[in-house]
Amino acid sequence: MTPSAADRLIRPLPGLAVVAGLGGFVAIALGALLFAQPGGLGALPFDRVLSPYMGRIIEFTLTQTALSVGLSILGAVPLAVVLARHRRFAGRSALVRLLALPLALPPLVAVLGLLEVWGRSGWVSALLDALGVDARVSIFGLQGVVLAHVFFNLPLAARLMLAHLERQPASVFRLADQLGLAGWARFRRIEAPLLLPHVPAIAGLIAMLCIGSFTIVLTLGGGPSAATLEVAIYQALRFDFDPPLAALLTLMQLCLAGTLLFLLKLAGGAPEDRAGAAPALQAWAPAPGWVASVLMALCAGFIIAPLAGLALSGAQAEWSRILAMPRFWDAALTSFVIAVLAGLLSTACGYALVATKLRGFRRPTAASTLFGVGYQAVGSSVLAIPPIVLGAGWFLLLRSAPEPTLIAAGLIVIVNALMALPFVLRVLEPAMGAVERRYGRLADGLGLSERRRFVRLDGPVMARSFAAGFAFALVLSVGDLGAAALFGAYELETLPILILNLMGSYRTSDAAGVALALGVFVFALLMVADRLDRVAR
Amino acid sequence: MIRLDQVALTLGDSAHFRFDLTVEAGETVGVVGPSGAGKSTLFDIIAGYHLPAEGQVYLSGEDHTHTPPSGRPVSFMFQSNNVFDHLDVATNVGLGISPHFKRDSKSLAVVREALEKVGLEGFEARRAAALSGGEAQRVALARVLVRDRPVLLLDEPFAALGPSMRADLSSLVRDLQAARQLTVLMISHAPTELRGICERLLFLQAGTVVQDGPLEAILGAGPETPMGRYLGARPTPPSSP
Repeated sequence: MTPSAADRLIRPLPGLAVVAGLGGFVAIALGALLFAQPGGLGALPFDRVLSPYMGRIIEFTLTQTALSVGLSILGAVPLAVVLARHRRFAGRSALVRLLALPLALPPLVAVLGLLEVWGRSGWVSALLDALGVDARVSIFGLQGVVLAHVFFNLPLAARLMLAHLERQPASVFRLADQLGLAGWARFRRIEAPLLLPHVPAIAGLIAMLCIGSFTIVLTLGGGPSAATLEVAIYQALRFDFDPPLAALLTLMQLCLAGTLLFLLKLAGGAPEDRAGAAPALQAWAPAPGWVASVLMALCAGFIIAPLAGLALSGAQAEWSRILAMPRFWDAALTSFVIAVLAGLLSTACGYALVATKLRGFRRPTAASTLFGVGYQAVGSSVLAIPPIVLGAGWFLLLRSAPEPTLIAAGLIVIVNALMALPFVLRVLEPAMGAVERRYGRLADGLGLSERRRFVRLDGPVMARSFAAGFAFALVLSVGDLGAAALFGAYELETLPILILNLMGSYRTSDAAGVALALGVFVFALLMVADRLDRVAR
Repeated sequence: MIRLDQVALTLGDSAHFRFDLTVEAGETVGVVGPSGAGKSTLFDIIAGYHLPAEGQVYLSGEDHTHTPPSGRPVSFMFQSNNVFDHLDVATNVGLGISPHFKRDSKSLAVVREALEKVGLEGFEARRAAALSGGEAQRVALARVLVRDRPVLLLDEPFAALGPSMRADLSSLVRDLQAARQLTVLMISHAPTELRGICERLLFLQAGTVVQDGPLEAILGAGPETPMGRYLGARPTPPSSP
């Protein structure tokens, strides 16, 4: 018995509904921002495009992006090369996994850690003082933003490059070993030509992340002189309440991100991060020399120091006071509820999308083409349309609606779910692909309906993958500041907002304590998610 | 000359290897055995990709037990991926002269001569990625020529090729061996194909050499020997692994 005609008609509906729903959510936000002004699009202050204010913002956005991308790539190349050359030494796999950590941390937690190391009274200042060097280290402004972006993106770039090198057949490196290709000759003949074709795509991805960076610039930018478009949108709405300006800024942000996304597509799409997934088997593995060892130690220190700094200062916080603060528990509960709802929504949407993609259409139709476009758009929407823009649109639409707190919470949930969706898809798609290859024809033959299929097949077989996807979504939502920041006025204090508010009122020690709690929670979740995802593969 | 003197090695928890054998200079020896018997591990020990836990490795009369792969008098050819796809043919061959190969007229003349010998005149500027499987193996042979090391290890170098290409290449290897008096070890999954190439055969099983002697003697030793059982389990030699 094959699926009934009715069931076949129903099949693509969940995925199409998700694409329509999320597409509508994004479209309404953008529409509200651009057209819902009195006077519509024409009322936007286009004359301000050429104003010095706008010039400063664009210049800062592009400068910090260019510097962040350049330094991340420059630092990542030697690290990836060293890791590819020395495939067996104690701590290698720990280092490779450490590289995945910065980007997974809530940005605000990382910022507090970076302050401990690079801040005015941080470790580096203390070290320079002790050495008698009279240099003021300042983490605020351009250098701070770039430093933080390099902290996030250098490890990412190194992982992506390492994945490309590890994907080569083992014989490439055995041959290089036998021919005595070492040092510069090995880089020039083997590694550089292998990496070069992938550099544009990696640089493009990092550029997208830096252009859309919100938390880092907000906390480390140090004022209106060092604002990116993202932060300027936030300031226009939150402090100046100038919706037309916010709309104009959004338009420019979309143009910039759209151009970059287009260039990224030209460069071969977003690179895949599979470092350490299939280590090239290599028997002859020279021990790292001292240059390589120093390089790896520096990189490891660069990543670990901020985490250690936060752990130390967070541990010294007055925990009895923090734990006695009802505000802390309220924020924790708010964050948790929002994150769980966002995680559930994201996982459910992800399942509907993947199921429809893999078995919703038996032959190409207009609907399947439409769905394919929507699926792609959902995958890259986070990069092109930052949460702050989505939040801004809905903020303008609903600012005078009743029950503002509830509506704000709902919007944060949806925005967070949308943000997490690409990561959920990355977990669910391979898992479900495997289920379909193995059992798809059998399930069709038995005539299982979509609902039965979930209960009998996908649910039990993919339980670990669902849990991993949910946990990744939880991690992203619980640390999010972008979507929640706009709605702070509605007595919705999440943990990241609480940290930001504590920093704002100079309760640095309390902020570090709360950040440590959030960091530990996220780290534990990540370990669980990573383990589940690995086991499921 | 290859001499493995009481070489022992354990990989992982349970894979034990023990080799004690001598191959004279100028000999061509076939290496046969079921998968996991240790054929590739034997080659890796000789080429320096695995360092033995015990025993000594002598090559051309010198102790090379701890020499890194590039310092050994050994060239290695795999079943595939013997060339760097991202480089042109001339550079692929030239890297056999020196890792710091430069395109001066002297080096290019050496490369051209080697390419002529393997029947690839005028291929210098081609990108290796655009070569056929047979052409890529010829490029690898040209590199073996310019590298000029006395020991040549061939790990099923023709297994991915069609029958006529395979015959061409194996006669090329034979000519090369005779001209340079190379010591050649050659792994094969089809022992009968080694007729006319090798005089001597090693049969490996469970990490060590269990039969060693003239090719015809071992192939004809009957169904009760390890080789006999191996052949019996696979009556028709497969054309590819």
